[in-house]
Amino acid sequence: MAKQVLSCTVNDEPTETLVQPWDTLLDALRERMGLTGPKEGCGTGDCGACTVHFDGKPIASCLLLAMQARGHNVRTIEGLGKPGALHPVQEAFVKHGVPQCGFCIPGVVMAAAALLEENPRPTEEEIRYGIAGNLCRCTGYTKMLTAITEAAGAAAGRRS
Amino acid sequence: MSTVMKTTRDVKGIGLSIPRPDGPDKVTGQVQYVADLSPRGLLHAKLLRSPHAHAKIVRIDVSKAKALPGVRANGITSRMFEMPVMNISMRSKPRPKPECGTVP
Repeated sequence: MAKQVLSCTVNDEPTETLVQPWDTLLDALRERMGLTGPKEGCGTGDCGACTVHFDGKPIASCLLLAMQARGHNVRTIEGLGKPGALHPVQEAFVKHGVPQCGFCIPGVVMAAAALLEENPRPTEEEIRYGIAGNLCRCTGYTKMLTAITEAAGAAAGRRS
Repeated sequence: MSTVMKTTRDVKGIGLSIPRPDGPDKVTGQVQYVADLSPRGLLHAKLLRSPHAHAKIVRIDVSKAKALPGVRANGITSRMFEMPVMNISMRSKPRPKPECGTVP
């Protein structure tokens, strides 16, 4: 089967990429566009390591076919913040020492950033629900809660 | 680390919250894990699994695979089938090593 042209916006850049019809969005990002921030942990939507923003919503990019992203807006961890210009969630994650092995972190950060975008002052329960789709095998969940709570305060502070 | 805490002697780091040096790289997805690397000349392996649950490997014909464009199956040798086979089934009694064949 012939490759197809995927036209979509990735990290604010309009892009055209050749993808196989069976490529997942995660395959397209990692293998075709060289964006290796999103990770493949399980490939079956259980671990959340591949979480990206799809029109602002957090999704498991391993469960979406690349061509389903045609015309849509995709943001990966590479488009959220850079060292030196971190997103408030990333700042708080560094400050509280959240990353251990770090493999789940891109997914957790994307889930948390999407949560705060939709709900700037979440309760603890809402934060737990917001990152419920992300597994951390270093089991660093407590520090994640602390960091996201703090980032929520910082984000709210920036707005007012 | 330049911060020094005074006790009976100079102690570096103890009692302080030291941020991880790799923190910013990890929260921005910049850290390269093994699956993120693509060195020049990287080859991809394909695992051929037996269609039978318990059988003796008599022969593996790799000629068709080798004939495909771009396939570099030169690593396939009979030595691969002489390696000890690990028994991963959860049985209390040890089982004899499965019989192995060789590639002609």
